[in-house]
Amino acid sequence: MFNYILKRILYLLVIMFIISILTFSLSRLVPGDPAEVILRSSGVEPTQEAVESMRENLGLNQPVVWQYIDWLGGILQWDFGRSFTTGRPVIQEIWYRFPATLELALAGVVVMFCLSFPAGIISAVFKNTYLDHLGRFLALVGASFPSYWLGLLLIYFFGVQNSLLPVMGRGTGRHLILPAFTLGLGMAAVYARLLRANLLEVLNQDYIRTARAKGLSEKAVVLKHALKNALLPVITAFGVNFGYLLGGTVIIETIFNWPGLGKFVVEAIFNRDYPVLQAYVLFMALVFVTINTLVDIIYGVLDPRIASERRN
Amino acid sequence: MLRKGGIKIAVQKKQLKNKFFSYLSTIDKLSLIGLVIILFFIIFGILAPFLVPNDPIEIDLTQRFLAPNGEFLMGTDHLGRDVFSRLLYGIRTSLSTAFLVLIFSMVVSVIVGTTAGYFGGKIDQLVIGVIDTLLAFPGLVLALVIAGLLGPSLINLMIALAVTHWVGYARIIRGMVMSIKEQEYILAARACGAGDLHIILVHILPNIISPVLVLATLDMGYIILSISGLSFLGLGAQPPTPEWGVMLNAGRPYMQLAPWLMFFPGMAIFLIVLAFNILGDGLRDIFDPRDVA
Amino acid sequence: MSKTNILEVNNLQTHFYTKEGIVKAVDGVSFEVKAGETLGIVGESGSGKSVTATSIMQLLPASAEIVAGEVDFKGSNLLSKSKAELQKIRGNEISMIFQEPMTALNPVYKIGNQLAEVFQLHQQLNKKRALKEAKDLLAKVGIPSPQERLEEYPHQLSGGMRQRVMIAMALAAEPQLIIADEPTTALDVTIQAQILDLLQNLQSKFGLSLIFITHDLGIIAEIADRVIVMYAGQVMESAAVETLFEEAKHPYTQGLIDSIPSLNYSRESLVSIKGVIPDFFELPAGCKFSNRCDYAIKKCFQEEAKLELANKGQLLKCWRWRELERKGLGDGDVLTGS
Repeated sequence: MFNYILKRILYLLVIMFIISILTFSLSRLVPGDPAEVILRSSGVEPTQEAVESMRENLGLNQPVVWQYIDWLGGILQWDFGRSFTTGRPVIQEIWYRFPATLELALAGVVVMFCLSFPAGIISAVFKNTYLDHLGRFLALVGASFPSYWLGLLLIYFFGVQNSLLPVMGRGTGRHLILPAFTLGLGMAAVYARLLRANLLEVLNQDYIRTARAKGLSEKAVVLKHALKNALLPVITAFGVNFGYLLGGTVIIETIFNWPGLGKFVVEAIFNRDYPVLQAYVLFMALVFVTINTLVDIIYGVLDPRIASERRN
Repeated sequence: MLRKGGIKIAVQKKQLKNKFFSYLSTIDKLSLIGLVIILFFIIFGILAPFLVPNDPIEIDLTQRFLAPNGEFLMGTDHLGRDVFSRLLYGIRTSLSTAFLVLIFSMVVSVIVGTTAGYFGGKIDQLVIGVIDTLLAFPGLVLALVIAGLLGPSLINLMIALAVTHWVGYARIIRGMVMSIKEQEYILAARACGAGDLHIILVHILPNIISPVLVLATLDMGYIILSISGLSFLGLGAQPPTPEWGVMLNAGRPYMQLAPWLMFFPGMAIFLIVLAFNILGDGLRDIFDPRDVA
Repeated sequence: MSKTNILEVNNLQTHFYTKEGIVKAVDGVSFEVKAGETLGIVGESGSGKSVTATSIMQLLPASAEIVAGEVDFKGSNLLSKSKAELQKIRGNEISMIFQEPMTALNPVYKIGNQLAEVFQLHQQLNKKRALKEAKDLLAKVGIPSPQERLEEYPHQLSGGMRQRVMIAMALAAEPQLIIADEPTTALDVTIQAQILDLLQNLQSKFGLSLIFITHDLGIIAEIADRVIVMYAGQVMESAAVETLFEEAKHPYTQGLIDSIPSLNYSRESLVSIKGVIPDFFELPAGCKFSNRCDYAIKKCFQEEAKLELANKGQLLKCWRWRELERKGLGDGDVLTGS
């Protein structure tokens, strides 16, 4: 197990290295001369001398490889550059906003679990009944619902029409309800379907018949013997999707004026704040890859077959 | 005796019920509905110039915020434009953009995936390395940032989506090709002296076409959602282009005054995405690409 | 109902609803099991023997349904019992051992947990005591170092060990009847013999009744007291085990016996029944075996025979058994063209 974790971490480092190259080259996508862009965005007339000194300053006159090593060296010392707009270190800005995004994402996951688990289990257990058809139809609708439209509709009904819930900003737990629901619903639909399919497959297995032959109640058969097996693939999918979820908060944060990373990045895009974008990509990739690694490890703990495979 | 009769009646009922449910769960019927909705959208999109009652772009400030009525079926927006006309033109924007992204992703991923899967070795290692790295990014985040760096425009958005989108397909296609490659009939063809190109074109591609089409259909909904979502953020189509996400965003500040501005475009996105998902679901039940991959 | 009969199955009919139509997997099967005896059910795969077993336990897949018949266990019909009543009987009074020890145990739970479950369920023991009982039981079924096995997962055990665990599980609540559905088929020959020995020992020790399902007549000869031979969902012949091997009267049974490989015969003389068991939708109208039977006459193809009582309690479903008995079955020169 220890060896396996070590191997995974090594792999993570390799991936991060390639990601850093990719991220670095992303900055080359920017149309025009970065020096000029920076000068403009800080309100300085980009004269010949000003641009030249800025290029010197940024190290843009050096060969690309040197620039990359310089940049990477900075990052390894936790220096991601400074934001054009606020002038503060980018990494500070990101750390400052990450908790809000994480809070929203986790709340979305809670909503997702609360909706998808009962729906998936009921659908599978009552396969091909009205309940199942209803559940599957709702899942299809949920998966097709644009989150930004759902957000707007919720704001309209709960904020504009009734003022039942706060629709803007972050603060009390009540602020969290609408954004979390918006974020969780689409995912819940996907997971309900996934869980249903997995459960149906598991319920056909021999060991389920064994459990029934023991005289276990249907409830014990499904909740004890089937669910744990059906959850394994769901967990893998979840690892991949949690990263997407963190990215998916971008739109929801914008709609609900949630002061997190996503909103910050959208603002950075329109402010042409490139260091922020670069750091954001790198940061998200790091979070994403880390979560995947964690999920892999958890998977091994849950599935004894894999755990012993890794031991050998 | 009585009880036996009871069993028989129960059985007959169950058979009837089974029939009814198997009818209901025949996805073919449902996916047909999906297909019909899609065709409706396409026809309306193509015929938009002949169908629209009003100019979708011309501003008429004397007719702002008119609620849906006989003349303006879906009302007018903050600049006095006909929402219905803009919605119809929006079909063109959404479907054609999504289709182009899809075609690009498909072509690239089929070429890359087939090459890697068929030839294996060093090429495969290189490709799978690139794919794994790209998959390490959340796709939407990458697309968002690329679109942002390139500057907000529909073309840049398409590039950003296409660049990030082919990777997933390429991986699946590579897997399919690798398993098909090992089939007996491929060995037989090779034994008969068929060249690599011939084998790929004649024996491998036809076998991956249908699963790839299912994937594409299932994905079309996702691409449409992404395009409208990023346009909603201001990263895609720019005003005054009639695009659903842009329309939603433009209607947002007037939610209280003119709720129809956010209702109809959202409904349009939802319907077309639902239609593609229904169709894709039905097709998947027929082909089930997971079996092949 | 006779007092010594622990189980009586009457005219059991189980149908599968498939896309192609209704499959009568069990088509009017009747038999009884006496207290303490072993009933062997033998037949080729697809003969309906496993479905008969799962019908008794009512563990059928969703596409199947028992459409008629009675399963009287200790005098009351299991088919009219509620779900909760059935759950009290399953694993407690009747338990089952399955064919595939590889897949019959839940891969994500420890052996101890899966075994203790039965004690917790049917004897209301707490977890600690249940685990202790589980350990003792593992020792009884001949598993070395049972304490350690409790902490292991199914994939860490060999096939034979897993089947021992399954047997322990079936024994846990000290049932009166165990249904063993091809319990040795997936195992090596040496392990097979061990498992059979174990089952026989345990049976005499606990005085339980056993239904043993197999396609292997060799095993039947070793373990069964009485045998029923099934084909296409029907009982073709039923007899005490000695009677069956010495005086098999049904051509199908005879064919099965003749196809047992033996050291005394050369490969060439190994007789087997011609053809394979046909698809359920292509079964002949009359006797289900007629299209594979060397002795079939016109009547056989048109009409189904009824089970008839021969001497020594032997039951037969064949139009020609009297004739064939007189002429001597298997004398190819008299009756067969093949």
